Amino acid sequence: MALQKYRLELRWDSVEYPTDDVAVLKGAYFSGPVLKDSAELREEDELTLDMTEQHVIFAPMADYYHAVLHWKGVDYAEDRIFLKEATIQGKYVNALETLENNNWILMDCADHEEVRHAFHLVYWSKVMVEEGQEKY
Amino acid sequence: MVVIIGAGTTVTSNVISGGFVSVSFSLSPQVTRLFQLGSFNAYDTQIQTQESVSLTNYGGASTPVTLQQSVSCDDSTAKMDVTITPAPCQGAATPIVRTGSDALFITSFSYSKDFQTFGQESWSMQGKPIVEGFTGNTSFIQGFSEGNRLEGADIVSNDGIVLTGSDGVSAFDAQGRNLQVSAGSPGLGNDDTQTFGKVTQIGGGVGQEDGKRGTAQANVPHTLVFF
Repeated sequence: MALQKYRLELRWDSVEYPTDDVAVLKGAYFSGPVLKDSAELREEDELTLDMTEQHVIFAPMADYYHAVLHWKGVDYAEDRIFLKEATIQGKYVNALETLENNNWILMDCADHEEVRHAFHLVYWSKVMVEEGQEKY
Repeated sequence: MVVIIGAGTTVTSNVISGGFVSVSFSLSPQVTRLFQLGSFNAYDTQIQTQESVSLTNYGGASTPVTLQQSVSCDDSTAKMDVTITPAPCQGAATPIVRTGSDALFITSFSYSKDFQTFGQESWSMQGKPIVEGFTGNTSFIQGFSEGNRLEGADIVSNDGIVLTGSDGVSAFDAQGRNLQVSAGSPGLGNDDTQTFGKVTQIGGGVGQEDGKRGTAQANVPHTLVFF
């Protein structure tokens, strides 16, 4: 996963959990080499994170693990794109061990080049603690 | 090549409740031209359009579909309602709605899972071929479905395929065996028993079943009949 060219990172300053199925990301931003080749983000948009590969190790979960990252407003900085009102919503967001402030999500955008994007419904993702160390 | 970071295509189906991973769709017209000596212009053209969709989803999300060979000129019952809303880079999306009488016919199914991953199902579907200008009756009838699956103690409890013998009595038609081992330390491999037969049901394969694997596939042939 995560070919260098298609690597996208989602990081945040802090996480809050207002309800059972939502994590609010404060100070969230995208970074990574794929931003050099990405189309302009829509002001309000969402994408589906597929973290099933990590979820496999959680035996009690008898289901796949998809969660939706939503944002409302973007700010372009030098090598980052800040996301306003960013949330991650999903059935297991709070059922799993909660996300920490220093965690981040590694995403692979290889399937989302312009001509292939419409045929791929999810972004392969992993929750990370630090480079090379997966949270799960 | 530009990379899109944002909303993707969405899919809904009456057979699969969620867990979609990928989808492809195409509308392929086939044009046959009638040429005759003395002219470089076609005297007539015949256009047949075929619509096809492929879906991949995680196991544990689909309802089984019973396969029944057609015995009349009614359309096949191996159908699935599918609505696809593509994610264009610009402009509004035009959903592809194939529900009710426009539902798509299932032409093949496969299931795969490794020891510690989630099972995935793949479905191939076709619309009834559209023959331009034809005003008579057509029917898309279902033929004999055959398939195969792995069997053994390390195989998942449900790989989404119900298989029987073609005679309606035996459990299967034939069994094969594939063994492969790679040199190394440790040298690992698989010793697989594969069962072949008539497929009577597809879908409903498991998602998570750690320590188990599975591979199964079925073809559901369909034929266009004019009457």
